[in-house]
This record gives sequence, C-alpha cells and structure tokens, in this order.
Amino acid sequence: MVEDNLVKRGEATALAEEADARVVEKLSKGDAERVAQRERRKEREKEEANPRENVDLFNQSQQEEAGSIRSALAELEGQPPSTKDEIHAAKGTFENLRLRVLEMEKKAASASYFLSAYDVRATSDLAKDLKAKIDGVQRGVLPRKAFTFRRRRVMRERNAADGAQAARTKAKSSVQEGGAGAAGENASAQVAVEARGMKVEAREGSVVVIAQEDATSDDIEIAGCKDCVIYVLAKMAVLRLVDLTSCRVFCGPVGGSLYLEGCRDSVVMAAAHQARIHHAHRVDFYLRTRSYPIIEKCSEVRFAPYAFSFEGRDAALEREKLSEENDLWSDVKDFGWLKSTQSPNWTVLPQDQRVEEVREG
Amino acid sequence: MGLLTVIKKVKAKEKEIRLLMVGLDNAGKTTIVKNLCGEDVSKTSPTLGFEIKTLAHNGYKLNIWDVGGQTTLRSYWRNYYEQTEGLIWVIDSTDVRRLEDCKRELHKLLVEERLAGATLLIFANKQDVSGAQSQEDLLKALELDKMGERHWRIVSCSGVTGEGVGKGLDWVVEDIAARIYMFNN
Repeated sequence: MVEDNLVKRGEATALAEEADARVVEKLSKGDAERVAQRERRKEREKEEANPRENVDLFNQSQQEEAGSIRSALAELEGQPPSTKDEIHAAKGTFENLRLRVLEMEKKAASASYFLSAYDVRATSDLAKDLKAKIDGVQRGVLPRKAFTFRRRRVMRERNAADGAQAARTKAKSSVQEGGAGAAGENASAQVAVEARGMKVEAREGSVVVIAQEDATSDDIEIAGCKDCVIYVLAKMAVLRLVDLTSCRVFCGPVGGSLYLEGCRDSVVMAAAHQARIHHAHRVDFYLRTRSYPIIEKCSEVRFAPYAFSFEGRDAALEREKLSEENDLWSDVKDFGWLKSTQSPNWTVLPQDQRVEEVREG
Repeated sequence: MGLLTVIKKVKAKEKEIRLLMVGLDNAGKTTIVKNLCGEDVSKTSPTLGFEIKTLAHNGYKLNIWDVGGQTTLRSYWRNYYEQTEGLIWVIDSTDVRRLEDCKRELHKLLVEERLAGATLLIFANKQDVSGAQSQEDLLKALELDKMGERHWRIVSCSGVTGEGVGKGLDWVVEDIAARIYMFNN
C-alpha cells in the first residue's frame, strides 16, 4: 500500500519534473527569441536612428579612395611618362582619376542628407584638393596647357606634328566631339544607311507618275528634279520633296507630313496632315492640311486651296481624314517672321491667278 | 550644398521629373507627347516655340517640355537644359537624308555640361512607315558607342500607333527615379 503510494508519488514527481523541464525549455526558448529580437532591434535602431555609423563608414571610404588616388598621383610623379605611348596612357589615367573624384563627389552629394555641415564641407574640400592635385601633377608631368578652349586647334597641331597616330586620334576625338567636319564625312562613308523608302531622283524634263501599283513604300522621296511634271497618287505616310526646280507636282493625300526642302519656280499641290516648307522661292502651293502650314527661309511663296482631282480622290481624302475643306492653307506660320504683322515672305495667291482644277492624265 | 539638399527634399516630396523632348523638325515629338496624353494625333501642328505638358505616370509628375525642332529654333534649345533630368531625343526613322544633321545635333547636346547627368532616351520614331530604318542601323549611323557614364537607351516606336512609346517612357522614368529618389524608397 505504502509502496504503491510511493510509486505513485514517484510517478507524480517524474511527471512534475517533466512538466518543469518543458516550462523551462519554453521559457528559455522565448528568452532566446527575445534576446535575438532585441539584438535585431538594436541593430536596426543603430542603422536607422543613428547615422553616425554611416557617417564613419562614409568618411572612411572617402579617405581610402582619396588615399588611393594620391598614391596613384605620386606614382605618376615619380615616373613621368616619356614616350608618346606612355603620355597617351598617362592621359587616360588622369581622366580616370578625375572620374573617380567625380564619383566621390556624387557619393558625397547623395550622402549629404545625413552628413553634418562640417562633414559636407570637409568632403567637398577633399574633392577640391584632389582635383587641384590632379591638375598640378598633370601640368608637371604632361606638356600641356591648363586652359582648354581649343580642342580643334590642338588637334590640328598634333596632326601636323606626326602623321599616322595623329590621324588615328583625330578620328577618335572628333567622334567624341560631335563628329563635325572630317570625321563626320568619314562616318557617312563608312556607315552608308540605305534609304528604305521609295526614291525618285534626278529627272529632267519628264512626266513622272507614281500610281499605287508603282509605289514600293508609303515613304516617298522625290529629289533633284528639273522641268518635270510629277503626279503622286499612291497612298503615302511620308512625302519628301527636295531640290525641285521649275516643276509641277500634284499629290494625293499624305497620311503624315509633307516635308519640302529647296524648291524654286514651281507649283505644288498636296493634301497632308502637315506641310513643312523650307527654302522655297517663287513657289505656288495649293494645299489642304490638318494643321497650319509652316515656312522657313522662304520667299515669294503663295498659297491657295487644294485643287487637284483624280480618280478616287474623295475616297482617298476620306481615308486620310482630309475630306473637309478648311482655311488652314491661308494660316501660314513663318519661322523667319516673329512679328504679328503679315510676313513679307508669303501671300495668298489671288483668285484670278490660280489655276483651274487640275485633273490627272 | 545646403541648397542642393533643400532642392532634393522639395523634389522628393513632389516627385516631379522634368523631361526635355528634342530632335530635328518633323521627327514626331509633339505626336509622341500627344499620344502619351491620349490626344488626337492626327491634328498635330508643327510646334512654334515650345509646349509644356504635365502628366501623371507611375506615381510621378512628369513635366514634358516639347521644344520645336526647326533650324531657327535649335539655337533656343539651350534655354531648356537647366534642371532637365531626362532627355528624349526623337528621330524620324524614315529620314535618311538628314541623319547626318540628326547625328550632329545630338552630339552637340551630349557634350553640353548642363545635360551631363541627364538620362537619354532615343526614340526611333515612325516605325509604322514601311521606309523606316531599324534602330540598330540608326544606332550605327549615329555613332553612339562612346557614351561614357550616361544612362541611355534607344527604343523603336510609333507616335501614330503608340507602339513602344509607353515602354520608352517607363524606362526613362524608372531610371531617373532610381537616380533621384533612391533614398525615398
């Protein structure tokens, strides 16, 4: 009986101990989690609320970078470049160093929101100092003037100085510069971009008809023609008329813009969303457009409403949203005349001088 | 530096981005802008001077400066460079004749100090026309291989159909936002 009780008690104690152990385990687990959480929070607070860490890190990285730039400069100063190639390489190095300083400045600018005024000042001074140092060393090491206002002339001088290499660098640097001049011409010879639109060129004294079945593209260019009569009846998105002399051009509707450059003593009839006219002299335009026509560097150009008729004209005009007559043809804007008075470069073509409606064929 | 901080803070609050649209005349700049604003593109007029459009896009307020491209207007482009975060250069992909002009004007912009930090998006426009050049060929002709550190991209598009226009804008806004507003996100 007693034994029985003892056994039971023993079991009870064992059970109780087990329960204790579980509680302890649970508690310690929870505690560990809390500790970890606290650590994480602390960590986060450090990062968020206390940017001092960032500032130190930032300052350190700036100093390191500055140190590495300084040592690179010292190296250059210790062994000044002598041959052409070395000088060339050194130039690259200087450029590179400048870029690194620029990078530092950029970093400083983006870090400025958490830096103190002193730190901002110190970093900008550091960058200024580095730049001055780079300039100084470059002046000392490379035979070069500090003031730059003469890229082109320097290029020419170098060109005269030595042949092949100068030619090579020249091609390179003028591409960077904007490719004007010689390099530009080179480039257009190298990269010949084939026109993909339809092109009618260099006709003289002939009648040209571009009907729908003749058109190979909806991008049509007619250039360099003289004494021609030209009919364009195909569906077009783009029409360019370039360098026409004493021509009569009659066009169906253009779904986009009519671009004209260089035209003399001619008559042009066209319907288009836009009419952009450049360098036209003594040309009569018969237009229907969806926006005001513009002229630039034109003289003695006259305007009248569209008067070209051909088979299927109405449907074609309808398709390009040009079926409605409007007065935009007389609302010409001259880029060379900004005053509010009438531009002397264009006039409305008097009624009695307009041609009768022109029919194709 | 203090001023810079103030400007950055103000800008961050408003989330404004200033984009400048340039390119030769007849490139299709206004058409692209109109397409972005959902306006009728068939009634586009050649731009006399400039136009400003404001547009909400992905949580940013875009101020798009659409500047005319006529030869007479190009000398005024410089007046719009200040504070431009994104440069959108539009090319008429059908106009092979003036590609050389296009290249020259673009390279002139790229050496401009005030635009040095601006993201560059090139739109190869008018891809809906059968005579359009591919963006690869245009890229070759424009010789854009030496861009240095500038963030740039070329995107084929059509201002008339709207294809590619949104894609280009998305990229340029994303790129600028990552640059300017990185501390806000």
